[in-house]
Amino acid sequence: MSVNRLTVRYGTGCSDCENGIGLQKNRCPKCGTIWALRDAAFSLYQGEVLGVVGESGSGKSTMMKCICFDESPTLGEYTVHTGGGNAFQLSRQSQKQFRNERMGMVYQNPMLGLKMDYSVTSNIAENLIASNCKNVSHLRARVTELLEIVEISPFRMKEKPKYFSGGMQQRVQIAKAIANNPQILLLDEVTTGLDLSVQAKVLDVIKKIIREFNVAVILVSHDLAVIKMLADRTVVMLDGEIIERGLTDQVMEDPQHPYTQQLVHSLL
Amino acid sequence: MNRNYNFAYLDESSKREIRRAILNAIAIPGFQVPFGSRELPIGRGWGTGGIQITLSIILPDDTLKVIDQGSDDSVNAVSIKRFISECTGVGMTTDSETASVIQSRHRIPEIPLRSDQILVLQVPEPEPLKLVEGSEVEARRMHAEKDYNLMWLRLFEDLVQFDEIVAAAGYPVMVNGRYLTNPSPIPRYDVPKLNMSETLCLFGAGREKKIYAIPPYTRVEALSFEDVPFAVESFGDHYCCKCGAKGVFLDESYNEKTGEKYYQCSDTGYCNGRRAAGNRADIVCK
Ligand SMILES: Nc1ncnc2c1ncn2[C@@H]1O[C@H](COP(=O)(O)OP(=O)(O)O)[C@@H](O)[C@H]1O
Ligand SMILES: [Mg+2]
Ligand SMILES: [Zn+2]
Repeated sequence: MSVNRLTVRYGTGCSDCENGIGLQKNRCPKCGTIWALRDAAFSLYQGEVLGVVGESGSGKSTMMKCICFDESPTLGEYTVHTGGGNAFQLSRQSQKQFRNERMGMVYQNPMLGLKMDYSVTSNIAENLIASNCKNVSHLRARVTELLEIVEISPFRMKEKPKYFSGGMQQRVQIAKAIANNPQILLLDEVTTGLDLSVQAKVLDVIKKIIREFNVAVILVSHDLAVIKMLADRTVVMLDGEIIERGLTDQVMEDPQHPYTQQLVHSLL
Repeated sequence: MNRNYNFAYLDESSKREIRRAILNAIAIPGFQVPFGSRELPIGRGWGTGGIQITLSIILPDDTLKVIDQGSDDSVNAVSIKRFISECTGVGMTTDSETASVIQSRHRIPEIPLRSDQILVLQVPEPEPLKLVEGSEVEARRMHAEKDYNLMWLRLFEDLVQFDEIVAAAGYPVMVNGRYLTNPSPIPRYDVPKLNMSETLCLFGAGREKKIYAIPPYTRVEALSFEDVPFAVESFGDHYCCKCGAKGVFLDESYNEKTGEKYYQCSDTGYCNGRRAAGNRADIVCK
């Protein structure tokens, strides 16, 4: 998949900020427009993990939401496979279908990704049902498999995620996201806010998935250590723009942009 | 017949407007058509949606049957009958075979209806998605996009929690493979009667100001999973203690003194007909 010229702005824009003049961080002081994402571009292959790193407010979640069609960008092209058209221009129904069948998304906030009043089983089965599996025994069997992958006891199948810990909720989200063997898996700050020991378990699950599934992963984190552990390539975001990109090792060892240099140094 | 009113109470232009909504509803099976619900001398929630449909389609030589949960003589059915009788003068019947228009709440008569009859069902809540989506705007979007995943998920959740789908009355159905529709609070037992029915079925919701229709010979399918078939209520070996009918929809009652259960036909017109023909049960209703 690849994304080009991806831009999301909140506000009308003005002659200054449309040309990138006078922005304070991502905001135009003249017209008040917020440029959450500006001219972002990257591509990603099956089996590859792209790390997206950047401070809070730099546009990481906005980028994820565009890619999974939660949000329509102001501008941009999104090619899912070579020869395919711009997926941003598909009908809402086609976008949803594509997303249900071929994408998985794990939200930073589990409230966005899970139906807290439905059982774990229903949550994990949701995309399967939406992509037309209407066979209850198949659904149950697949959910059982997935629970094993994310290391949740099958005895908890009927429970509602609202009674789960943060780490468990993220693992339920992951199980839901990979249910359809997606082509693209989006992980937005999956471990943020979790205790270190809990983080480790979630990261183990993600490592296992990356190893065993031939899936293109976009891994968003403001934690460089997580990116370093899992990402093949990395892009660094600042104020809505991608300011640095490269192989993860290269970005870590030889950062070019002052912001990246500062990030990497703080990790050492 | 009370001549202070126009025939059938509503003025001709109101009736025409409601008939136009009905025609739209017939043209798009299962789609909820908004209409300007009129004030009637009967409170909303007492079947005013159904009554307005009946008043708009009824003709002087029609014969009307009104039933409430299967019964011809409940307070609700009687007051609707009295009102329509006063303002139209049409003949009334309890016999489903002789009726040309049948207005009903919560039941479809036992005997199969015919193409020269119209069934009008009273609907308290027309929106099948209300169960899973509180916002009307969002529900409309879901209908437009034929996005019924939330309803499927709701049914699946029932299977996860209870090993069966709980929805009893008003089981969600797909009409003509397109619109998810609330068949009104009829029992599951009555749902298959709607599929490829010879009879035009009109649904009126007065409070919610919606009319929808299932035209004759329209596919109506209860939502169900491949390996969990849709099942209707079953009454085992029980039969009606008045007429002995078996395999019909039975109401269960308790004798308050002895606590004993007994069953009788929910469709009282059907039961009376059977008894008039000499059918009796070998037990008595207590
Ligand atoms: N609906 C919105 N309206 C206005 N500004 C928004 C909206 N959503 C996000 N933003 C702004 O867009 C910027 C990027 O946000 P986000 O993508 O959530 O950042 P990140 O995930 O990197 O923390 C932030 O400045 C945020 O305040
Ligand atoms: Mg974010
Ligand atoms: Zn009987």
